[in-house]
Amino acid sequence: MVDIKKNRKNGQKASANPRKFAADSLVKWEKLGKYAGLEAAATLEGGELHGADRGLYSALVYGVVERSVTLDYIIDRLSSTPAKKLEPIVRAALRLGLYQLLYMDKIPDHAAVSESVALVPKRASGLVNGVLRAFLRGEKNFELPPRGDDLAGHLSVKYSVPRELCVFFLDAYGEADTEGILDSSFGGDRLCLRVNTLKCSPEAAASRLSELGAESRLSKIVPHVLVTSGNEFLSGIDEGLWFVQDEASAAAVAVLSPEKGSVVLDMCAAPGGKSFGCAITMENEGSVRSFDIHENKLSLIRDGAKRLGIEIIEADVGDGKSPAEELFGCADYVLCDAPCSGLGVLSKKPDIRYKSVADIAGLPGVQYDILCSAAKCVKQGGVLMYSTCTLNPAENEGVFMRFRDEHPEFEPMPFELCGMGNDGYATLMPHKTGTDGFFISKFIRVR
Amino acid sequence: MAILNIVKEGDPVLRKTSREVTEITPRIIRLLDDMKETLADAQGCGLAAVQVGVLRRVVLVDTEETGLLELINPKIIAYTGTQEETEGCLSVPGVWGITRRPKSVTVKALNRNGEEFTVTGTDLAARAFCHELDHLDGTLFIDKMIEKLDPADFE
Repeated sequence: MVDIKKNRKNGQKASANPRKFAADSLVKWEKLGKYAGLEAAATLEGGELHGADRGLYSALVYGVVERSVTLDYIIDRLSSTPAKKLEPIVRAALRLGLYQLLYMDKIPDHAAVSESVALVPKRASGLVNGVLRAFLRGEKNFELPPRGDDLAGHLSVKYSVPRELCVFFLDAYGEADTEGILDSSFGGDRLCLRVNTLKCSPEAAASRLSELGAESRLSKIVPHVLVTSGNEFLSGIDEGLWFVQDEASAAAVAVLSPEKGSVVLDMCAAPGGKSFGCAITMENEGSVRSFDIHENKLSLIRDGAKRLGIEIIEADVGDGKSPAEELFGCADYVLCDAPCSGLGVLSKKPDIRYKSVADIAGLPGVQYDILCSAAKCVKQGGVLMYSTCTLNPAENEGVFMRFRDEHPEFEPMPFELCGMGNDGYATLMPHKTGTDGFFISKFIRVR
Repeated sequence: MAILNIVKEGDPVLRKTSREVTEITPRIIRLLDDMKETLADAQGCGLAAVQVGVLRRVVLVDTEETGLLELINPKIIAYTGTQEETEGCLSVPGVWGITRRPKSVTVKALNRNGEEFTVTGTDLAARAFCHELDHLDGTLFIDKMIEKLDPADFE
């Protein structure tokens, strides 16, 4: 007997096929519930893909994960078997094919079709070919569910988010903001760098970036942050000239603006961006203690600090819910960036859009507990900051208000950020500020 | 040792029933060795003695799951499940088709020392056991295939 796969493999040994790797990763993503980012990183680490193939692989995996609601909707219209009931590899091949046809300009249509057909066992090649060709015959048009009849359904397909998340956003923020949030939920090339002003000025950093071949501009929202794109910035990370931090997180540190020589606690610190920002703001004088519950993440903080030339950061294991008693009342500033649903970073983490709304419901309680524990560490006259990278009133304003109401020893502390912050809190909306979605709030301990 | 000629479909020998091996003679050992070399050369995953023109119940199966197995007087003693997958045959070059086979097959056979053993294979290995054992009774996969595939699609 002859094995068809062995037979095929022998013919193709020379070059690894990025689409094949992408299909395998997508099948694993669904089957194991693995984070797409981790799966992609593991595949790239494997070293079988080179050069442009790596870029194509990543673009396909991230893109398909991001757009799969829309892609499945199209599959359901064109295939006799709905997307949900297809074999995983067939579903992955169809999603990949449609994604390339719809969203990738540089791939010729015939290539998108034939490459997808080649990904599936022979018995399914007719189906894959048929669906993709039908999509081409229809000139790549597909009709969205009518907006008037079913707003959530319409937005769900248009922006590739599960229906329940659309309903959730509509309840929380209304139609206009929901559409704004969803419209800015796709991964772009935009990347922000917080300049290490211990080593160089933002102007010097910008000219270094342009030497490396990348355009950049200064952030309009926060000082010391450059907005750029591409991968040219990477060498500057090793040189300690900057680190990757979104304008929104940098803004949180700017709002906190810890003074030189003070004591800062960062309760949920990994990967360390806010701790770095504080230490740099303090010009490397004082003390920043960075805690995280995950021991294995501490090296991220320590290595980062070392690269940046920061000497005042001490990273330790610590559970935000139960800080050591010796820390009580010790800090001038406490940062509590609690674990959250992450709905503000949809554009960076393609999986987040598939989080179940039910799983999110328990978070405010956890966040409140962490905030209360963090509060114990603030000395009189000290500042407490509560922030999240999510857009969910329950996790944001809800936790803020409950804390305000139940802790008379703390008062909201007004600040100014993009015209917000009068009442001691601000929600950055990605479609309004051009940043990640983010919540920042600030209290002062008055007694 | 030698690479043997693989007989092709149309040759009436492929339709004959192979005889049991009653004694493992040096000729059987030689046959096994030659078949091994022939199988490796052809890059197949299974070969029956009849395919090299010897009407004896001797087959080789070589898959990732089972490794290279020599099976003398093999019999299927258990099978479960079904699968529909692609098969090809060294005696029917260029033809590919889908067959319906058990998902998992357990075979009892003798090794070259005359010792009885059983082995279980799934997926490709199960298909290979069935395919090779069919050869011993004059059956080819093209008799059983439920869909013929166009070889142009594999290029």
